[in-house]
Amino acid sequence: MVGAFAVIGESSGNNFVSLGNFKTLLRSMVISGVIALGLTPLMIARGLDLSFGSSLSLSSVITALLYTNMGVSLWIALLVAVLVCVLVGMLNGVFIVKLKLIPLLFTLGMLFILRSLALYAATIGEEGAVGQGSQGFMILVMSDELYGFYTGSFLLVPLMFWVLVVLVVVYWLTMDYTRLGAWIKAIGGDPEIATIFGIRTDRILMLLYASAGLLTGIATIMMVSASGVGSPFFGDTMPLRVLSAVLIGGVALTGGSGNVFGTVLGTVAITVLYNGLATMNVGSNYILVIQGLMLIVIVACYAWRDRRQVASD
Amino acid sequence: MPGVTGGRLQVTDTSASGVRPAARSALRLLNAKSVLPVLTLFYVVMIAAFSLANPIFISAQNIGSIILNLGIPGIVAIGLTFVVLSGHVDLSVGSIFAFSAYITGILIQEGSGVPIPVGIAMGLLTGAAVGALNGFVVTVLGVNSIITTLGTMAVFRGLAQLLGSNTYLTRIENEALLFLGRGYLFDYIPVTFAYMVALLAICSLILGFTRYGRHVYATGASEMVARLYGVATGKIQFSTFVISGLFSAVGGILLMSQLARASYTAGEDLTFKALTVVILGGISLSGGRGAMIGVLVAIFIVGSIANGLAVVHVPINARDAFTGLVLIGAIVFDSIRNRNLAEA
Repeated sequence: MVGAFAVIGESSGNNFVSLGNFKTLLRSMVISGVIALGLTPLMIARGLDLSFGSSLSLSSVITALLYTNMGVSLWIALLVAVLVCVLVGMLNGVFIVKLKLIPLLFTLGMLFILRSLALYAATIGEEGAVGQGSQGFMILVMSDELYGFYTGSFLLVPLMFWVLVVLVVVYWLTMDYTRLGAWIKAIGGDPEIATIFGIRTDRILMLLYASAGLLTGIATIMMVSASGVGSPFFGDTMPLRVLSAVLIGGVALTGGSGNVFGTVLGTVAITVLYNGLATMNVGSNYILVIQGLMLIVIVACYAWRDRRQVASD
Repeated sequence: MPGVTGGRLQVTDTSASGVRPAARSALRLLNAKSVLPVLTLFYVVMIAAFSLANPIFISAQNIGSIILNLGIPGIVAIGLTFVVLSGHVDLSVGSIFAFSAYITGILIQEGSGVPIPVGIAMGLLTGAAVGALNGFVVTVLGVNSIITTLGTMAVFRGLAQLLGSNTYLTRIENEALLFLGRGYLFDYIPVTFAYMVALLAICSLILGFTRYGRHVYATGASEMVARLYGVATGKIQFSTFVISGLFSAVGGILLMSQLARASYTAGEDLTFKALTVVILGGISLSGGRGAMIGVLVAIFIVGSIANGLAVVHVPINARDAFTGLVLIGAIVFDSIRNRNLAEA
């Protein structure tokens, strides 16, 4: 698919294959990649989170408010952003696990609450705000450190990409070479049997919700560095993009299957697709339509495959 | 039979291990049959609280404005009720709402030569067709309904925006069409409210007294058992998505007539509101349980919350957070009710 888009890019005279675009591609891949990575073990263990997009929006606005309007130091503002995301993850985990709620619906409710809070928080700073953006909702965060984090490279590869590499390695080693990883897969296989075998299913699931929150927090830092603003609209189309990446990588909605590298490949495929479309000057409305269709097609293909397997068993 | 009833939505464990006995007997009050008194009590307390905070809340003028804004979201919630009863969820209602109204808006604009009834019929047909698409993907291709409709929500919002960015719609001038959404019956009752009540009554009768209604409940309660008893569960689920799409289109066209112009941004938070109404109204998320009358009370509650918060000066952007809390609260109580029923 990468090849196909490279060819289309060349033939239409665009700069899809240029080095500059390649770096942009890597950077834009990192943000959805980090979130997708956090979702992977959670979904393998039959959990699910839709609220990450709004969680990212809210924490980005909070960071910007603290730094720009309240004069809090940058590092503390970023730490608060991460804490907000972890807190949201923990809330999701505690409610879903302890009250045995349907993850998709509970986190959908959470999505609405957080989005509304993000919109509200973005208007608090309106009076006397230092860096109110043109949209009335964005709050500027101008700082050399953040800009350096976004533009900086190490061995020709953007710093942000190295963060993703480190996280991928950590998640891969945890999933494939530790007992925790084995437990997570066991829960995905059958939670009841896993519990009978003494695995603390509830605790592990809550840990996974919190860790998904942590990675959303890291993605927030990247988003704020990349854009220089906090905005309540950052997360709006993110669920489609990230879920498509995770699902195309082989993680099933019903849990039990998938791995870290599948998610990485899925993220690469989705990022290349959407960036390819964007460099071909396909309008954002078309991209929204394509994103929706892609999500359905991916899930439908896997559903079809699973049913064929059941039929042939 | 917890595994079967909740199968599609993955409610595998229905034991009440996390709830203490004393709390459990208190929570037993919230079983399916008693949801109506609890809702009504909640509503009365809410009205009292808002009225104490600001007496304007119970002024005739404010009550009129609450009622004026209940009809259209209510109609969408009634359609969504069918889907949830059959065991699924439809998140695309807000996008269908905007897309089908925009189709009608384009067809009937000045100089197009399409008669208004034909334009409206095409809009309704569009809504039903999108619903049929949802139903096809869910029942024939076997895709999770939340993910499917999350996808179609994006697809049809995108298409509505595409249409909106390429066309300029003129104001609707036709008096009859404007009356359709703006009119009042007997000078006091907004027509949209009257439609909502009429549709709710009809749908109550259909669900309570027809074979189709019984099949919807049976499919939602346990698809497997219903199929063994000869219910064409796939067709039933498909039909509920069509109903939901059609009702969303009705709502969208009514709003178009109210605003005198179709808007591609209409209904952006409608999915969230309608879903809150349905779940709060006691329609169980595991399917097959709940009644329209609960939805009616929930339509009033959700409509009054938005208004009440405005009356007590909660900023507009923070209001949705309260509705979100109501949604989450309703999801939690639904889960607790399910567990109580499984134990009884």
